[in-house]
Amino acid sequence: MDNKEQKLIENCKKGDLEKFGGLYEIYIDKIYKFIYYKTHHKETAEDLTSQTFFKALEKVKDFDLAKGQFSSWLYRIAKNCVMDYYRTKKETIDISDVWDLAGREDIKRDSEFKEQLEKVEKYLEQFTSEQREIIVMRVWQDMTHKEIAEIIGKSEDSCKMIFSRAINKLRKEEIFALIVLIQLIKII
Amino acid sequence: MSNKQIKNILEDIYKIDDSLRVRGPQLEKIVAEILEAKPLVSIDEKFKKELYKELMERISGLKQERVTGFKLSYALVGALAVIVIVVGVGIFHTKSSQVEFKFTKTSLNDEAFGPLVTAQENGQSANSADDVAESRDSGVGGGAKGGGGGMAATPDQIAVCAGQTGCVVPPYYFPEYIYTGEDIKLEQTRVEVLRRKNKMEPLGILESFGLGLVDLSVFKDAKIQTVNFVQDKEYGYTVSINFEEGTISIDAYFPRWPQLYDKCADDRCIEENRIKFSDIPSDEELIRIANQFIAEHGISLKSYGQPEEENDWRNQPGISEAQIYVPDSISLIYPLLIDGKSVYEQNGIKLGIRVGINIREKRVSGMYNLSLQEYESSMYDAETDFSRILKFAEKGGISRYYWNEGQTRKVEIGTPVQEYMVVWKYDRDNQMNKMLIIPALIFPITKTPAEGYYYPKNIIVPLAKELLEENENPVPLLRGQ
Repeated sequence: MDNKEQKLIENCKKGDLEKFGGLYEIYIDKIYKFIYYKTHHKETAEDLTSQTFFKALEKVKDFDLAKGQFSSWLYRIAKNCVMDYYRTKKETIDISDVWDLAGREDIKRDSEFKEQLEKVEKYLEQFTSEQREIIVMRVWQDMTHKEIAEIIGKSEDSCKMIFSRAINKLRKEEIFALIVLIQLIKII
Repeated sequence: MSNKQIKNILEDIYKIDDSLRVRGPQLEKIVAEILEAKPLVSIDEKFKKELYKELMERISGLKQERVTGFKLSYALVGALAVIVIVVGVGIFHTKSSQVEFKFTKTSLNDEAFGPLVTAQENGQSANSADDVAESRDSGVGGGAKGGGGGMAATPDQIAVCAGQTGCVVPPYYFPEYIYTGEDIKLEQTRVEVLRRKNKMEPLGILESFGLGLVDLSVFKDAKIQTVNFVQDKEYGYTVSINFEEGTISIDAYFPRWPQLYDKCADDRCIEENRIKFSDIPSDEELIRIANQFIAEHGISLKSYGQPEEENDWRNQPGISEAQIYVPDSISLIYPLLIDGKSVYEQNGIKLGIRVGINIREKRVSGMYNLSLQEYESSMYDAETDFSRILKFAEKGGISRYYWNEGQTRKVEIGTPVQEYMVVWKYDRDNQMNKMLIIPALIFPITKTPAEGYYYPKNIIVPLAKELLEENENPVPLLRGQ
């Protein structure tokens, strides 16, 4: 976190909420993409992005810098908004993102990316949401290893452990893809 | 993503395992495939600006002084504010007057509501499989299961599904209903159909709340459709009044309620703090919390029965307790009683006032479907041939499946009791749905298949002849249609 961002947060905490606009400018694109990659639907992503920033605005006064990064706090709000959104669908199993709903016709998705997303669905839908999150942030959002570790609140070692759990889930014919993905995670 | 970026990722991989260099071209292809699948998404600049503007307006609103302890939602302005504050004060502070939801009925001529079914061309028929499935999504908390009443997969299938991300929708078996109850003699040739008065004048609804705090007649020419207001304090609520539908709902105002992610710095903390079965209070305690809320807010539930927990989400055979998602909010329903009889929605759930209780905070987090119980009544022809009713029941009743492909499993149904069911009818003149309450036979499910599980608890058959005729020979649909 740079000094400018830290000052914006401190001012917000003191009640100068107009400074929240600065934080919005820093994070709006990133949060929108983070949510879009979990929903694959423009209107849904916009709605959940709005919810994320309104929740953050209401709670920024209580945010504790000593407990962690503002970015990880904001991403967690976004992640919870997505989970809450899918919970309203009343699924019996927890849904973290749209990858958990592969093949469902009743879930709105933008048609323009449908074909290209289906190409990697076979890989990604088999991972846990956390593993998927790591892959997407690293490969699609081009985040640094440090950023991802801060957002998911885990060390590099625990990331490796998380990924090892996915090995048994993959089918043999996808083992080569697995090797690639293991290595992607290891480098985080 | 450029070749340079792909190479960077590959170099990172080789740093971990240099032996993978021999598979360089294959690795490059797979990495490229994943990267190429990245949607080239960018935020809509118009949305971005509008959201910024809304946030700034909200910030401005947050800074305003609050005189009464209540703050209006930022969406409400001007004269409406006066009404909202009055209503708000009335609901939360008027101890002397009770909010009455008392049942009243006005008799009209026979068949005064016209046909009981909505013409198909309006696309408003409430009986399609899609509508039934959709209606299951109503309610508070709990993990209602989609699918409209079919039997879910075997425990083995569920277990596999539960352990595999991406596997959500199990295959369904289709029920074959077998009646095991007694023969019933139906003697009533006419049944009394009720229609709820749902389009109330705003001033009417305020008067019926017994406020009497201010003369609101000055607003008589103004049309108010909905009103929302916010109780901006710790554990505050938002209240929404829909005058068109004649309903009131109360929800937790989430910014002033503790959120789990406020105290958790990482996902492990969130996981560790998830609600467990052991956290759920006893039924007695849940009812005590709900009753206390109702009493504190001066709401009279004279027309409603004893509360029942909506606990279908607990029934997930084949899934261990640890795997079941325990909702943060448990829902109680105070069933509406008309002449001592329950009223069922078409999905088999009792109609009534729902109260959500936040398990973490042990507080009421919402109250829904509060509505004035004012009805008009009219007589209609009744079905007296029990064999015809039975045939209808054995096809699944009003929320039947219209397809019969795939495997079936036997489900036994017992002797019915006469209660009521809800039918929604589209009112062309007012362009809105009207709720009709129709006498119906409720067949209890007495035996479910050992294989798989079956969650509906009853089969509903309307006694009004016209509804039977309309629904007993539907055009079969193909699955997925």
